[in-house]
Amino acid sequence: MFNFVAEMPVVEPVDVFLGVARFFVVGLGGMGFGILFGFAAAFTTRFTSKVREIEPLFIFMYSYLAYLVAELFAISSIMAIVTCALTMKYYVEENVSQRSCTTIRHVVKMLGSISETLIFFFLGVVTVTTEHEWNWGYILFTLLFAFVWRGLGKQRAGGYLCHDRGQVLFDRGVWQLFVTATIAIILFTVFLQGISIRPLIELINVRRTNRNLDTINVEIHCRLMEHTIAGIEDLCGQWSHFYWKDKFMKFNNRILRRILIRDSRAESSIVALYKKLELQNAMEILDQVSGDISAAPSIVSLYEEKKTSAKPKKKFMAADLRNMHDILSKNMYKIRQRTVAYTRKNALPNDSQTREILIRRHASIRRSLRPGSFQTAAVPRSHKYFSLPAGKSLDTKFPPQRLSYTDDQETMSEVAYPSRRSRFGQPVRSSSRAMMPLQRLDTLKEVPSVDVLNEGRNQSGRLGRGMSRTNSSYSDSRVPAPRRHFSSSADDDNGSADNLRNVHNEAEEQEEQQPPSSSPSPAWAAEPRDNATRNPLLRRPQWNPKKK
Amino acid sequence: MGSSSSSMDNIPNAEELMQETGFSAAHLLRLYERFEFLDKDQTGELRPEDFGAVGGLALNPIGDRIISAFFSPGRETVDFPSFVRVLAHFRPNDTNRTRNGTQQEPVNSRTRKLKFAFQLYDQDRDGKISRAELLQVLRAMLGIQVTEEQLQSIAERAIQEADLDRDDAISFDEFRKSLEKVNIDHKMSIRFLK
Repeated sequence: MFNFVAEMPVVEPVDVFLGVARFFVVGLGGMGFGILFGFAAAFTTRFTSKVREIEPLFIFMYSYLAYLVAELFAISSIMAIVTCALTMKYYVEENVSQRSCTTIRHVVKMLGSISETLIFFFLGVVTVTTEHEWNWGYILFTLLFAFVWRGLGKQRAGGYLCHDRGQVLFDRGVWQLFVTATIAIILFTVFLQGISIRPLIELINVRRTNRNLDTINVEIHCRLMEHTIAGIEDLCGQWSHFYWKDKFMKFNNRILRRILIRDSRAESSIVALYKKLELQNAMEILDQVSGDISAAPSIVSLYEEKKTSAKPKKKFMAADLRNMHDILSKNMYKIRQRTVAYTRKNALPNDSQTREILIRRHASIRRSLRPGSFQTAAVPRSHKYFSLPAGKSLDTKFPPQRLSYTDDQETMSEVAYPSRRSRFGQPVRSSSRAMMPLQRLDTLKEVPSVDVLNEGRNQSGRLGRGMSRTNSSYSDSRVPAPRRHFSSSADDDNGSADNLRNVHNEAEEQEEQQPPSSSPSPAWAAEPRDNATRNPLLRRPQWNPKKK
Repeated sequence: MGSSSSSMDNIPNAEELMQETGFSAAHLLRLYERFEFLDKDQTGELRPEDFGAVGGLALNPIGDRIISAFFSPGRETVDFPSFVRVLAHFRPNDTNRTRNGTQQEPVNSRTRKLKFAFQLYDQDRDGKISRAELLQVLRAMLGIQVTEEQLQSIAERAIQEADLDRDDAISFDEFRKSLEKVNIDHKMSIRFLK
């Protein structure tokens, strides 16, 4: 734009106006393009559930495409790429797998580092090798000018100015001066900005941490207040930004998310926050438990199923769910923890508070377990969970519950939740009552009660034991694990995820009275996923469920 | 709603109301006009149906609770002073208002705003938000997105986070404490009522 202006012999007011208008077009057009490409990327990733590996590629491709197309139309490419990234982040993050997220993040960081290095490298070379012409007055004036312009927020324009002047005037001597000036400005701003950015960040961070209030209570109450204000505004007939924000969120939920996100259901921020907090709690527990959990191969997507339809609800005890829930959490998230640092940028909640919550919940669980029908035997400390010794069985009175719901956390699925960890099942029940048969999965229906000893099988077979808690159960509040069958201890099997999934799918048939214990009904179709080595089960978490 | 009818003289006790609620005359007038607009049958009082006629409010998940907040317990209608008093809760805080010691706590103070929000939960006015009440609100706000178990869990967690005296309910003090870091004035204020 400045080139254009500089080259014109006569500048008229109309041209000035056009110039300004063009500026706006460039800026807003860039944003518009960015948003468009962001939507395109979100839409594309909606369908990539089967081809997870190319998701990062799409992201980069769309970003770069936004940049190129914007350049093509001579509008602001930087704005385009930035807006594209912002838009993508919101929608794409829900669509892509956890691994893709990690990949993207790392690649971007890598590219950023490389670019920075190259830029400084080049800068240094140019500084050293060009013949400089130095004119104090001019240089200082330019620096001052740039400083002022930056202060006014027009650094890009200032940059253009310098660049432009370098371009237009080819007179060698003067040009050298301009080059020198340009380099001086660049160095100046880089160093100054670099140094001054840190205090600014600290200031902003301080403010930001105050904003990030990580309790479910706050979220609920704030949501209530927003609704209240929206209602009152309706009543008064005047709307402020709450109303528009509300409207936008509705629009977003109803239309945009449906289109752009796979299997989307409007997810309330309350639920999202709840899940996140539960996850953090779980990780904390795992942290404490710590341990010798061997790294399990990560599971790509445990939960694709998102069942929202209500299956016939069976009754379950909240306490048991909580139990399950905790067990699951303890099992699940250890692996995930490694990736969490990269994926979750949220601060962990206040430690003492969460710990207290956990302790309280444990206490309540313990209390509820005492008289409970849910018998949990102390889990043997040994690593491997093999089939139950003969005669033992897991007693359960809980029909399997519908499993998880929200899917969206695929992240959970990403968790390397080795199905092996189906710990929940595990508390080996000492009682020798017959147990409810495990949930049978379709695929394994025909398999007769197999030898319990899963050792032979690296299959999911072991899973059978009832608890398939799905990992994703995490996302869902207490996932009612089908406690059907605790016939064998072998919970450490994968399956859980699969199981759960399948469990959902299947009719929950309860077959009664299977041959006790040793017949671990092969519950689950072995998902090829991790038939791998059996994972040593997580050591029992702190709380010891009381044995009956 | 011609200008002839909208004068301060029509508003009974205008001075008192202004004093009590802190609204300026212009605001009061505007609210009176709105009141008259809502009062379709010109009885001078609003009934629940009049509130229900407001479109957005009907769609609001907690719309019915908001509406019932206007009605004092036992009364079936809302007259203009009550209307204004409730709306006064939503005025932004006056930071530069001088408060003399004898003056009562202003209607739009933080505590009063919190009290209003608290009462949206606590429909039976027993001073505590029980688990059932919390569940009702959650159900209304989250609707069909979540399952019953999830709702229970969320409610459970919320109570555990806030309930300090372990009585399985959230009292007003606990409520206030859990929101101590939140800028209530910002969240519970309607700018144009200033």
